[in-house]
Amino acid sequence: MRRRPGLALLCCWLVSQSGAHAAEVIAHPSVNLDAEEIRELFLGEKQFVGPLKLVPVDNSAIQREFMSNILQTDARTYAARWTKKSFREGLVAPDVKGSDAEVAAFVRATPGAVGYIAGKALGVKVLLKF
Amino acid sequence: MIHRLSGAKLLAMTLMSMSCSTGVRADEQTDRIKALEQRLESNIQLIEKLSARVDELERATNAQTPSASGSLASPPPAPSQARELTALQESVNQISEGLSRRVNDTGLPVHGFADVGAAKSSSADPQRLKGFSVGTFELHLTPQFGNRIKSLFELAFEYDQQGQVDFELERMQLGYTLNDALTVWAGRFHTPFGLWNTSFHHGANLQTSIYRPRFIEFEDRGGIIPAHSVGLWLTGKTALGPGKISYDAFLSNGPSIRARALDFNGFTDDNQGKMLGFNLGYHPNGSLNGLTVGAHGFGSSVDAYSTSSTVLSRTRLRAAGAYLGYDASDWEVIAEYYHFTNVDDATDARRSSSAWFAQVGKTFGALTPFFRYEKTALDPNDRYFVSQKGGRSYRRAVLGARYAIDGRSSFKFELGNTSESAVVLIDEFGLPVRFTGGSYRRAAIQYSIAF
Repeated sequence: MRRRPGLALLCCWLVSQSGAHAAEVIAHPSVNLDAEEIRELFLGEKQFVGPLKLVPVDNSAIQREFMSNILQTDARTYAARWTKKSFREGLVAPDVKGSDAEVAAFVRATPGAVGYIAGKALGVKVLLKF
Repeated sequence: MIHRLSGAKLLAMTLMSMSCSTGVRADEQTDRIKALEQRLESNIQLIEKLSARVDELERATNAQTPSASGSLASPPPAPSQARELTALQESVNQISEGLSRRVNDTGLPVHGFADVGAAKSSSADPQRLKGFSVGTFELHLTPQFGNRIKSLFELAFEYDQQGQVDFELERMQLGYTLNDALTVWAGRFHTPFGLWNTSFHHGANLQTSIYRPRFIEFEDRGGIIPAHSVGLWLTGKTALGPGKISYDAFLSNGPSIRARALDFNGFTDDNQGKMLGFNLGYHPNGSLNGLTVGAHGFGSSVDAYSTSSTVLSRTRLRAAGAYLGYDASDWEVIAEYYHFTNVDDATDARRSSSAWFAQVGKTFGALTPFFRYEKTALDPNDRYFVSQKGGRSYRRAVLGARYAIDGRSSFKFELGNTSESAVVLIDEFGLPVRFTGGSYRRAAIQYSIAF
């Protein structure tokens, strides 16, 4: 089969020009976490950074992508995990917001808050892109 | 230990009133969200109008621009339009912030479990099951008070073997979290030995099997280890090497034996012998993620009482053991081992006994078949065991399956075969009771939900 490097380059260029924006894990400016810590936070394994209480918040608009890409789990397993966490350790599952705007507003206003959005937001720290 | 339903009506009324008030709050919340949505809709319409107006102005400006004279600066927006845009931006921000706060205002969530089922057993089964049953209706609440103060309340309603509805305050824990490595709980909690007792307990829908291993059953169902404790409990988890280490340390009222069953002394201790225990677990990361291995131990001074509250015997209970759990790659493994080295306080005689179980399950889609084997070898002269109705040596094999209907409900069935050794037990009057031993089979089904 004849190779067409030009076609591959064209495809790459089109993808790069498509305007697709990576989703972001955002946090209140007071928070600094790496990818593993973000995963632990949303799975109920981490609650504090030093003296700061972390407040995870889910975004139903892109929750499936977040669970798949960052948590490596699915909705059923995630819900079951939090049922167990609540029953065994008295933890409360993350609040679920309905849009980027709600998540951004909450994260901006809440010390220790960590969420994720599909777009961009001002006044928050970007921890990770996915 | 279980209290009759004298206060149950009051409790039910309280819960109903809680749910009613939650309903009222939910209505208010719905109205508020509707109002916010209407505001958002009207703002979107305003944005569309403004966009159309901007387009119109841009077209007009372009039409007036001379082609040869280069570009002209766009006229600044009219002050009224700028004010409208600013007001619109503020309005959108307010709506976003309002919506972002709404979940925090929905009140205290109530979670719980319930199960119903049926069972039939052969005639040698001391419980002689032959019909339908209502299992446990359990509610648990986890109100949070600020960043560090936690609480956990659990109520359980169930029928006892006499057919009376009982309720019990299963857990009432007030906690303070210092950091991820230390939470201090005080109150009544599930005794943190092994894995099973704290992982499943009354959460029927959480566990794969219908019945718990018999020797770690609840105190009023023949368990020989106190499943509940009242006291202080320190727990936490911290990174160690390529994994995490978890620990539990507890100091609680020591148990006693009354009416041939363990009593964990929820009101106050009956003697000076407090129960002291630990549980140390390791949870590796990487390819071994999902594995837990650990060790546990506990000890106390346990008095067995007659019906007239005379002390029949005093035993220094000493137990230590290990456990293993694996929950990954569709495998579920849980195994616990206990070695008892109890000392009779009157004679200083040392008695060794052991108890263990291992359960293995494999998930295929929604179906998880499992097999469990459990065995106890209890010294027939150990007064701690023979003073309890369930203090008999036995072997049991259980085969069953759990079908997860969805994330919150499941259907289970299991078949069990039990062989019991003959033993002479001591009744609540201090008299010997001969148990002849024997074998029996049991079949059971269960439908369970979580909410």
